[in-house]
Amino acid sequence: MLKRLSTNRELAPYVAQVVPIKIDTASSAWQEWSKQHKADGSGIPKVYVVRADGETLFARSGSLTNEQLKLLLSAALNNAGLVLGQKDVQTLTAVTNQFRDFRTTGDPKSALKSLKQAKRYLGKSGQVASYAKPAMELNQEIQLLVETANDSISQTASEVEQAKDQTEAEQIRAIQKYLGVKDQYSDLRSSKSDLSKIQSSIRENDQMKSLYDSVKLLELASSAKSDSQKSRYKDKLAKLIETSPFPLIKSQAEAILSQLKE
Amino acid sequence: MLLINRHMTASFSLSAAILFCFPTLQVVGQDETSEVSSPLQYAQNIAAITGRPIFAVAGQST
Repeated sequence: MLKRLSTNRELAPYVAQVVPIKIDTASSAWQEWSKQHKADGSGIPKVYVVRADGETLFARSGSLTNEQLKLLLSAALNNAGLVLGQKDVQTLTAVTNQFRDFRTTGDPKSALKSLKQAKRYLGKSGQVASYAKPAMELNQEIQLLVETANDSISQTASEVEQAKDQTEAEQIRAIQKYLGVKDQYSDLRSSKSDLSKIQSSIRENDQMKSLYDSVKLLELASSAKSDSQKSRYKDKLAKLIETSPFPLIKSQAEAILSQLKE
Repeated sequence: MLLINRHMTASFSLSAAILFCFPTLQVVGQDETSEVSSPLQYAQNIAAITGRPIFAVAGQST
């Protein structure tokens, strides 16, 4: 049957996408293989299709006709996920390494930016639809970051809710926390909806809604780097100090303004 | 890691008509012939790295 696979032209396009192997039922490798992949029927030959991650897709006794082989290989490839070439492997491995470095050093924003190099591999789920090891390693990394993001966003959401009945200082802190989380995870597709919900929640509270734009301005002003940015924020901060009814906002604006003037 | 990389590189240069001939433990391709310690392990390495499924036929050695 394997010989037909290597000589039949109709089967060639399918065969090119699988790894064909013959296993001697008298070998020790067979003992291990047959334990992992249970086949229907007891006769030989036995035909197997095993996904790259080791999942058995097909295991049955008996030889197959060319037409059956074609159907089997076609169905197997439909369930096998994306097959990677050498360049794909290199790209995904490099992206995974970068992503892991940023994630483990607490920089999810840069980790998510590094994913742009692998954008064409990512499906709607935000993961690579492949059972290849380099793809699965990247998927695992992405999943770990998603879990951290979910925890962080969920904690922020409850802090925002609690802050609604608390002091101006607590409300400012909750808004700052939200802006920080939003900055880190805004490129994460699965978090967009939850982040929007927090923003809507902030805007439902009149005082937090008033504070929100001021806190955002303070955050942007404190991270201004170029002279033109600094100049622009000096004017905005001066106006905020004049008009804001919130003492804490005024004092923070004054502190940032004096830093910008240095 | 070096072993996997060697397998990976070899896998891309082998033709679609890879045949694992036992019990010689030899991988025969159109472009190259290389000896490996275990054909099954070799196939599993290629599958794991590229995502290609394994198509295996188990039978008696001739």
